[in-house]
Amino acid sequence: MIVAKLFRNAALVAALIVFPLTLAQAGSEVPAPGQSPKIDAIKERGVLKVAAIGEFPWLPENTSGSGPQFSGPGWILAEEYAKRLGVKLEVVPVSHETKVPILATGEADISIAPLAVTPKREEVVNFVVYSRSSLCMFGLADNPKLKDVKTVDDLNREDLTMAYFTGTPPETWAPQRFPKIKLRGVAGSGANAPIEEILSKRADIATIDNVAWPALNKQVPGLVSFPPGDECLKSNEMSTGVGLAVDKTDPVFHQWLQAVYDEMKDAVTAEELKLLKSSE
Amino acid sequence: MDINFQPIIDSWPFLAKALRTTLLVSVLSTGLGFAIGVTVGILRTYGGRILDILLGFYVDTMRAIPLLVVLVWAFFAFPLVVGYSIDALTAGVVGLGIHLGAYVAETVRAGLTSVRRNQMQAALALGMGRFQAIRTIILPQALIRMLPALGSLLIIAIKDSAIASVIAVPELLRQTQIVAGKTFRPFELYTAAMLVYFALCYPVARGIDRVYRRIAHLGSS
Repeated sequence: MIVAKLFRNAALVAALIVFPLTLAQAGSEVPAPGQSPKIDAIKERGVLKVAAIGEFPWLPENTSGSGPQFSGPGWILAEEYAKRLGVKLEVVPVSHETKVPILATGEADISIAPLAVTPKREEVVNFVVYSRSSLCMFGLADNPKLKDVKTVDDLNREDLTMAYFTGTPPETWAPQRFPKIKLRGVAGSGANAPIEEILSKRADIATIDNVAWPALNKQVPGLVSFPPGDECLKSNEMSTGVGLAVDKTDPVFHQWLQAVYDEMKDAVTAEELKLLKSSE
Repeated sequence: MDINFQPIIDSWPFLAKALRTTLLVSVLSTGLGFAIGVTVGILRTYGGRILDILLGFYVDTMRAIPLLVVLVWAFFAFPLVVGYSIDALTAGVVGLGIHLGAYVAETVRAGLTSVRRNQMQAALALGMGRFQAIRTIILPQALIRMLPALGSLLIIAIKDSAIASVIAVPELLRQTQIVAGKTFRPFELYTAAMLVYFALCYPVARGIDRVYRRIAHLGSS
C-alpha cells in the first residue's frame, strides 16, 4: 500500500517535471511549413540574415582580422537559430541609425545588434530580452565642474553639458532625469560611449552602459563615474532590458526565437559573464 | 595626452580589409559614375532636345539631392519599391555611382562643347559619321580639357566612399570607428584613417596634374 502510494507520488512528481520540459521543447521546435512566413522564407533562401553592430558585452566585434566576426550572447543565439533552421548565418552590417529600421526593409530577419527595450521601439519591433542594462554617467576626474558632484542627482545643473548618441534611449530619458542640464546629441561613433566629447571637453559628462564602464575606466585613465566606482555596476539609472529584435509581422517567428532563448538562457548568461570577467 | 598606436597594430588585418573595401567601392562607383557621366554627357550634347531635357532632369535631380540622402534611399527605400533587397555594398556603389554620374556628365558636356563646332562640321564634310567624328576627333580633345575636372571628381569619389559608412558599408572609416569604439582610442585611429585617405588621394591629384601638364597641348585647337 505504502509502496503504491510512493510510486504514485513519484509518478506525479515526474509528470510535473517532465510536462513543462516537454512543452518547452515543443515551443522550441522549428514551426512546420506554413505557420511562419518568415521561417519559410529563410529556409527557402538557405540563409538567416542578421543585422549586427558590435557592442560590448552583448555582441563585441572581432577586430583581429581572423576568427568569427562576433562573440557574445547575441552571437551565440544567432548561431543557434541558424543551426536549428539548418541554414547559413549571414551578417548584414548596420549602423546605430539603421539597426532598427532595417527590419522593416526585409534586408535582415533579426537585428542582433544589442537593443535596449524602450516603449517607442516596442511599438515597431518584438524583443527577445536576454540581458539587462542601466546607465552610469562619466566625465574627466579633473573637471572642476564635477568637483562637488557626489551623487547622480547633483548632475542636474545648468552649467553642465551631457553628451549622448542620437537615436539611443538616453535621448528621451535624459531630458526627464536631468531637466536643467544642457544636452548634446552626437552621431554614433561605434563606441559604447561618446568618449570623444569628454576628451575634447565639448561635454562635461556622458552616458555609458554600466557593464561597459569597467573596460572604459581601464583603458582611458583620468575618468570618474557617477554613481562612483563600483557603485556604477549597481546603478539603477534607466534600467532596462537588452535584447534582439524582429519585425512585428510574424508572431510565430518571434515565439520560436523566444522559446529557443528560454532553452539556452544559462549558456547565454554564462557567455555574458565570461566576457565581463575577461575585461576586468 | 598619452598616445598608443597598439590598437592599430593589433587590428591591422581588420583595417587592411576595410581599406580594400574602400578601394573596391571607389573603383566600382567611379567606373559606374564615369560610364553614366560620359554617356549622359554625349547624349545631352548631341542627342537632340528631348534627350537633353530628360537627361538634364536626372543631372539636376542628383545635384539637388545630398549624397547621404541618395545612399539612405538606395539602401532603405529602393528595395521596397522593387521588392528585391540589395546589400549595403551594392547600394553604396550604385548610390555613389549615380550621384557621381551627374557631375561627370556636366564635365563631359562642358568639355565637348568647348571643342569648336566647325570641327564636327569639317569631320562630317570629310564623310565621317557623327559617332565616328565624336569618337576620333571631338572626344580625344575634350577628354584632355576635362582631365583636371575629372581628376577632381575621381578624388571626390574616393573621399565620398567614407559617406557609405552611414549605411554600414564596411569601408575604412566605419571599421576605424569600430576599432576606436572598442579601444577608446579615437585620436590614434582617426589620425591614422586621415593619413590613409591622404595617402590615397594625394598621389592621384599629383599624378593627374603631371599627366595633364604633359598632354595639355594636345587638347588645344
